[in-house]
Amino acid sequence: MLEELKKDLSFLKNKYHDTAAPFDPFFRMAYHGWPGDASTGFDDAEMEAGLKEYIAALPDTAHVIIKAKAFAYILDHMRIGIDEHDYFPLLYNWNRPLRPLLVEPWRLSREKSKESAHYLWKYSKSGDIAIWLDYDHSVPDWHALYALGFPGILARARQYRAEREAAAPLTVDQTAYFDGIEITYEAILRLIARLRDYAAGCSFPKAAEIAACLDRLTLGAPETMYEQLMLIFLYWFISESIDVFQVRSLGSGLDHDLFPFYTRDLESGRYTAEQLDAFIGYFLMQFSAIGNYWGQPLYLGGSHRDGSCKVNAVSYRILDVYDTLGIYNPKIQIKYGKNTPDRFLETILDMIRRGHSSFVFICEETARRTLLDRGVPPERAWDFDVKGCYEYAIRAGEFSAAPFYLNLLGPLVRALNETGDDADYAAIEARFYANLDTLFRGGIEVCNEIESVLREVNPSNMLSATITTSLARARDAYHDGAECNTTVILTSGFGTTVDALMALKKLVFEEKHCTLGELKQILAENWSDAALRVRALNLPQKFGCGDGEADACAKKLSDFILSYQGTPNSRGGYYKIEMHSARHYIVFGAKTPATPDGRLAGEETSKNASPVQGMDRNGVTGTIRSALAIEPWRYWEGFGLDLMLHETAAKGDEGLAALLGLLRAYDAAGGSSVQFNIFDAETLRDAQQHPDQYQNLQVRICGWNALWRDMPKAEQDKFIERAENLL
Amino acid sequence: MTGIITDFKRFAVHDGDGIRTTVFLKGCPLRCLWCHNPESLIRRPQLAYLTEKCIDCGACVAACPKGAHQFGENGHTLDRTRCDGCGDCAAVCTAKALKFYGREMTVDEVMAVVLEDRIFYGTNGGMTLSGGEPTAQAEFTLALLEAAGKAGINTALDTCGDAPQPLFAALAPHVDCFLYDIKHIDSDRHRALTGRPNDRILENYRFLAGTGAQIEVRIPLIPGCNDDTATLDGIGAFLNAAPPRRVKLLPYHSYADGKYAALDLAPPGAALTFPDAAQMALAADRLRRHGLNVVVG
Repeated sequence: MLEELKKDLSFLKNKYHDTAAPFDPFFRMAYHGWPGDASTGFDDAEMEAGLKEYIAALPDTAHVIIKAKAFAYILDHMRIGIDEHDYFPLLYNWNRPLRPLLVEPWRLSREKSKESAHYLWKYSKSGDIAIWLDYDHSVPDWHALYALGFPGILARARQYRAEREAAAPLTVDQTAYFDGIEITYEAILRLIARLRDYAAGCSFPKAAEIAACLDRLTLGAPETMYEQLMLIFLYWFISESIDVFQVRSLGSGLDHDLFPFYTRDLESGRYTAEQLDAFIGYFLMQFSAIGNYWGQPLYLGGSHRDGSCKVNAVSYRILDVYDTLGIYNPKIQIKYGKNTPDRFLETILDMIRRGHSSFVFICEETARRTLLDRGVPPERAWDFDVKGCYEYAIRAGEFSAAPFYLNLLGPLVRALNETGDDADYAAIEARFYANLDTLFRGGIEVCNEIESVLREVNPSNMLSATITTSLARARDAYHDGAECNTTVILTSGFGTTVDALMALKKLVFEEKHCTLGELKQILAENWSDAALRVRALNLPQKFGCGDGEADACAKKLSDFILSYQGTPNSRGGYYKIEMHSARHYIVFGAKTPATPDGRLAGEETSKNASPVQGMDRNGVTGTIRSALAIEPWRYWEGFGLDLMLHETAAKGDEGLAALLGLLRAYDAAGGSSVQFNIFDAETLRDAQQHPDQYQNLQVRICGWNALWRDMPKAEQDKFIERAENLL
Repeated sequence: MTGIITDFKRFAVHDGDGIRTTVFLKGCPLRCLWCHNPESLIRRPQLAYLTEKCIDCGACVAACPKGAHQFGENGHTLDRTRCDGCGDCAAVCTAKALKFYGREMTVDEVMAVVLEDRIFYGTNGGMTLSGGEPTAQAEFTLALLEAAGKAGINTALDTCGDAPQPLFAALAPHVDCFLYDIKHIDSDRHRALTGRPNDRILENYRFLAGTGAQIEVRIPLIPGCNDDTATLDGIGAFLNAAPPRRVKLLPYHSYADGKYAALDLAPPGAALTFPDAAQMALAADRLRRHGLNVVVG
């Protein structure tokens, strides 16, 4: 069957791509490559026109109902198909073309106060902040979905409704909440039945298998691993593309989730090991085919409650198939700890050094510690979900929206401009922290305001139905119906800010190479003094080098940032901080003028908890020591660290042992998330000059991977610059 | 007590087991044609100057009390005859064009650096003393090894073996693993290639092996110098009598050419060639015929 998969790869790779059009890696979603079977439903234009007309004719009612009905309309009219080269169906409406009709931006702008609007305008324009309503960090209760299937989820919601109705009449909001779920899941079941019937009418060999699988899902819970994978795929596709909620983990530990089904399939003789491998392969290719820029996460590993490791035969099968396919999406997070077998970690590390850099290691103990620290009961903290890039949350109990990105350099640039030329370092530093405080407080106020309409703008009908606390409260799970509804602030440019503060202190006040006024002028002229810039770049006090003075500065900044953690949000939860910049190290960097550390105007800033590109001069151990100095275990949402190693450091048995040693050491010392890029600069330079010869060269960007050939040259240059310092 | 330190290398993963910090001590009795650490050969401090990094800021001129740095029509020039190795110029060179080799450090100072990375050493990583030749600074080397032992740090000693046997007897109890160089089996040829005969080196090997010391033998493979069958068989037969736990074949490379240039030295092995992967594999196979555990580094 793997041979069959190999023959089908060409179709799978291009499932959603219009291969005639240039591929744009920054475009959030890919394209409809599949023209669709016109007899089964509308194309984009027909769907949009039909939906507009349909919505216009609906009576004025709660948006949760309107969205559910619009959702049902799309599912009932979308083009569907199955193909002889695939075990998973084709669904037409990828790429969220109908998002504007499903979410309610008008309500957001209506609810926003003038003060918030002004604040957003002022600080977004300057590149200090970015704030938007976030629906991109959901993980359903996969265990409930496996146990109940789509019909069972609907039946359970009806039961919760009946029990509540028996106790007291439902309020208007509660009625809308349950109606929304029922309309949504009835539509999902109709769609699956439609797909089943379509498959039943096809005559190619895979069709009968597909029809039987879909038939099972119309009746209840999945019974085989293939049915389970189909359920995950359908939930994911429909939620991401129609319900407008990104699903940020495929399963709650995919290896652990699949294992009972996998074992049963083998023991019963229903499928061979090779057939099961192939199903895993077809499943993984669905996400590889989409190719969205952020990558689709899933995680493996972790521990059982008794402390034993969850790594099992399926963990290795997933890795092996992934390795064979040579893909980088889905991206895979590895929950690891003392009990994780060396062999499992070495298998992954070996893949990484061979170019599969789309793995992130998450220290399980540290992540659990953050949950306990914020008061999550131990019985809920032991089994957390890893989601998105590096984040962790109570499984099936916590939804953290991430609406607020903050550029730490903005307040420093303004502090320099706002203080007189006779100011001392302490005065500038105080002004920096005051400016930072203004940003945090102001941003939190805006987030509180806009998040108060989170559920009205985009109610989470699909998600809510899977979450029991949401059903019991009849409240939207993503908004305030879960055990914990948190809000995340993501900080960007940490390393650059520390380096800039240290450079300011050294150049002007301690070593006195220039006056404050001169430095301001030089920065205004985008580092017009080249010699001084070299001096700034070569200062030893850099974050990420294990330098005591820089690390002390970093600790002070980190403590300040963390002081906003725990601030109540407007949804009954609180704020969490994540040391993660996503793509904002580029976005903010483009708007940030030259900074005292030697960075030129518009250049990217440092990302995550990592040093400025090229400034990790004391190697990986220095980088890790600096990261540990700011206590990763205090960051409740996550803490990303990128390590770059020269390939000579990773070669042979000794190299593999060293990589494993780094992982073990980072975990033992309280590290959080870590990812590797293993290169030599010469390869990267060659790849820049001969992209055709490096079609598959991928690099870890910032929580996701990108193909080297798709990266802008400036970003490539920064990678090369950093790699050059590795020998 | 102080020693003269050339440099440190953190996250050293090919200098013994696990993750290590390698301390390079300055001074070596050998003059190998292929030496890749020319900054470690002599004990006195040295200044390296990387022309391409100089930004002509003139900070070195002001810092140098001896007038070794000058600026003329051709920009910066360095008169090494005036340099007394104080290192003041390198300290002010923000462009990192000047690098000072030969810092005098106490045992505590060295150990402070080594201990910074302690969390990475795990069960088998630790400190490696290399050079130059650590035994050339015998007392300091012994003191460092003792200090590491007290701190519970695993130790490795990278040595050419050319030191008095009583010294090895004194060092052995404090060394978890010797990284022991065998460069040639024929003493005359050894002298021609390294400036010293190998009799003492081979004798010390036998002695250490007899004590039960853990030894990894390292053989730098240089085509035309020591890759012929007779030489490899000679080394193989010698080691077979007291096999080390591993033999590591290291391919000669010319990465050090930049360092020679920065020190105004001519690379003595300019005419040497590099082994390719096939040559390395062939040599490894030849040594394996003598029952040795051989890896290519």
